[in-house]
Amino acid sequence: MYQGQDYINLASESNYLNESSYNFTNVKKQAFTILYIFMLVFVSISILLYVSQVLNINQSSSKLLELEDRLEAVRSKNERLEVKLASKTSLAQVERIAKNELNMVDASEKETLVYNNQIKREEKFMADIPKEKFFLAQIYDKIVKEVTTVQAESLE
Amino acid sequence: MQQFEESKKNRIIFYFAIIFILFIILALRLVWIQVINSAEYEHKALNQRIKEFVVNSERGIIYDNTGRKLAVSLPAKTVVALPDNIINPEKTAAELTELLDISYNTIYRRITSDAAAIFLQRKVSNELYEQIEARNLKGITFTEESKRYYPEGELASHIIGFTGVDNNGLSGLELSYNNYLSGKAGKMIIERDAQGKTIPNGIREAVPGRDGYNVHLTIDEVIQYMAEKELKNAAEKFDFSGGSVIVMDSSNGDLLAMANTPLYNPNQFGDYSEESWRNRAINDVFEPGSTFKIITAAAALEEGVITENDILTDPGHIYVENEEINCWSNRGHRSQTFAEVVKNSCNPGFVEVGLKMDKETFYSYIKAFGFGEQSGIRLPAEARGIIPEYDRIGPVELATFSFGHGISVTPIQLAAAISSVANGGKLMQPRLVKEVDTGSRSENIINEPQIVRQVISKSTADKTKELLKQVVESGTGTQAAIEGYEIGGKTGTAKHYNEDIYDSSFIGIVPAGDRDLVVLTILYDIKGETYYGSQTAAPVFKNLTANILNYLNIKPDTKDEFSYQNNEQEIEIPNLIGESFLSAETSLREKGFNVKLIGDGKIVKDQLPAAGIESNYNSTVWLFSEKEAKEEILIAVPDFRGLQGNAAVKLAEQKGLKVTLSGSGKVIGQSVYPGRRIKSTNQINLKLR
Repeated sequence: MYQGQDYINLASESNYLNESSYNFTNVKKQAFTILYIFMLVFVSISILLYVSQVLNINQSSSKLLELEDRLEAVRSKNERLEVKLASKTSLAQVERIAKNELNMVDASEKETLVYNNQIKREEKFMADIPKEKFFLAQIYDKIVKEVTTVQAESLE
Repeated sequence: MQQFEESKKNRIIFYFAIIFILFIILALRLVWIQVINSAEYEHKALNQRIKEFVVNSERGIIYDNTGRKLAVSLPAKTVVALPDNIINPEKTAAELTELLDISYNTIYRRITSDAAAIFLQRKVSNELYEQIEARNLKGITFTEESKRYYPEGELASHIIGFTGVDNNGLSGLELSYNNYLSGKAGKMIIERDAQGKTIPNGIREAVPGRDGYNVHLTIDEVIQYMAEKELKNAAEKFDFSGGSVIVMDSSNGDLLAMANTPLYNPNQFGDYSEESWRNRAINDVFEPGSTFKIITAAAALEEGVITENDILTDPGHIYVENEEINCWSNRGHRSQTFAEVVKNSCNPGFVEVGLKMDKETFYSYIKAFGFGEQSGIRLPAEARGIIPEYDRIGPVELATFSFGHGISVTPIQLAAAISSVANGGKLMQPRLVKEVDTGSRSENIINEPQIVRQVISKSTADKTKELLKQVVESGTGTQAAIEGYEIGGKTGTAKHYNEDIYDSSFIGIVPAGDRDLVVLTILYDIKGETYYGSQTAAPVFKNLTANILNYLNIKPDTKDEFSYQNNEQEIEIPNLIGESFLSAETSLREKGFNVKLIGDGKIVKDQLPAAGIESNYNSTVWLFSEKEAKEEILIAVPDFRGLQGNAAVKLAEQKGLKVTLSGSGKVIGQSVYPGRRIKSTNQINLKLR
């Protein structure tokens, strides 16, 4: 009986839902729910983003540390190689390789030849023919000159 | 039923009370930890995560003057044992014994000790590190340290020196420039996780240190190599304990090479005897012998007591206070000019010259040339040389000094002194470090060439150089001559007291463009038949110098073959007694004589040689303001035997001695033994036949 009464009351309440005031409250509740869900999603995403960002930073930092270690190792190796190179190219090593492996020998005493370029070069003539005696040759030159010389055209 | 209910309620209350009390205790404890004592726990937690360690600064690099690295620092691994982590100590010790230079027992004792961590072997080679790493031994780990490495090995090892296991300089420049090279250690604070890995974005703070400064030397690697090679070659030919070679640029005191034997490799300095570590060119002294005659000649020429044309006599010996001093030539060099005395390296001739200077003058020149004091090269344990105290020097000591005996010098002192002759009289401080590179933080420290003092005038220096050139051209140093180069030099041979062991040396002045190089070669403790400087040190000098000239591309000058010109003109000495010093000096200099004034007076009371005597052009005439001063002078008696009467008289007059002749022909006897030193007033009787 008691339950029946309650059910009746509930029925009367459900009737109440059909009223206009109920509609307004319902919309309000729905809006809050949506807002609540939105906020929840937003906060969750923010937290996820933050965590992923932190993870990213940590990963990058780890990578940075790793790269720093590698850089240090490469630098050490480079230094060692430079020193090895210096040792291999030291004069003692070069001489040892030259003598023992390439069978080279010490240079013999250096001989210096002095080239004297101050000596005056005197032009020697086999025969000196006086100009006046070379009259025919002069005429020949004149004729050749006249034939071969071309006068450039003037604007006038 | 009600009683049971009550009992149940009481028990619940009781347990609740206990839980409450426990909760209160826990809460209080939490308050104690989190609030009241939080700082301490925070500190403890931080200490677990944070590791603070010292970041060692990198030691500076040593370069030669061509930019070649002579000493560098490399990271090296140190083998560390963590005894708590070692599972099987016997097996670990056995495996490490195969690789490390440590016995099984030592390793076992160490890896089973109570220490948390222990160094097994520091700064192992990279190859050894890789071998140990490959074994993957539990509880054996590595830490990184810095190790000094010398890429050129033995080259210039005596100059550079070496460092100890803690990277502090122990010898050579590594020690003397340790403050510049070592730098300042920094500090690093890092947050680490339980595995010891660095926590990304954790605490990471650094107190920066300062790397060591780089040092640039004046040494030329190639010349240094040549010098060391020549000493090695000499060791194959001669029997000697070691040698030194110094190549110095006389214009600025720069050392282009400073080599010593025996050599050692600073990378494994522990494998060599301490004797091998010595830089004998700096740390040891030797008796310079005839090479010191350059100093005597320069001092005497500067003081005007002698000129290259003055006549000196050598009967093979000279007596100083009854002590007989012999010439290296038993027969002596007879009558000769001072130029010939230098050329022949005549001991009695130099004794005469040395004694012409008074003790104070000669001693002051020895000091002025830098002997008896450190050269300022700034290398550890530099010797000062041994010069007897002034008060202990008598005529005999002065006589022996004049030919380089009874005095001990360091090779660097001798090279610096002869450099002053080569460069026009300036004593330069030997320079080994050109610049200290302090990086970008501050200005570099530049070690400018330093003139210690002007010891002799340029004209004296030039004259001395000319005299040395004829030594190489036609005197005792011909073994050092190189065709086409005007090299001046002097040999030196000093015998050890009471032993047939010799120190042989040669010092030469080599023209190299607009500067002169001074090259000193010394071979210590030579034994055997061949020991003279001309036979041993001079050929070493020649080979080395020829290579240096070739390397520096100094072309030979074949046009102007050097030939020392001796003016053989003779001039009559005027009578100057009674004249003023000034006019007498002017008159003599106009005629072409050198003048030496003795006394403080203004009027000439006496002169030596006497007036009317024909003497060599540019020979020295002594003018005295007191007659007694001349009488006190002791003159070495020549060996007149074999001379014609007139020649004997002329020689005696030139020297300021009085002779009387008995008989005719050649001198067969003389009343005063040759080599004795007598006063000018004493008479010598010559017997002729």
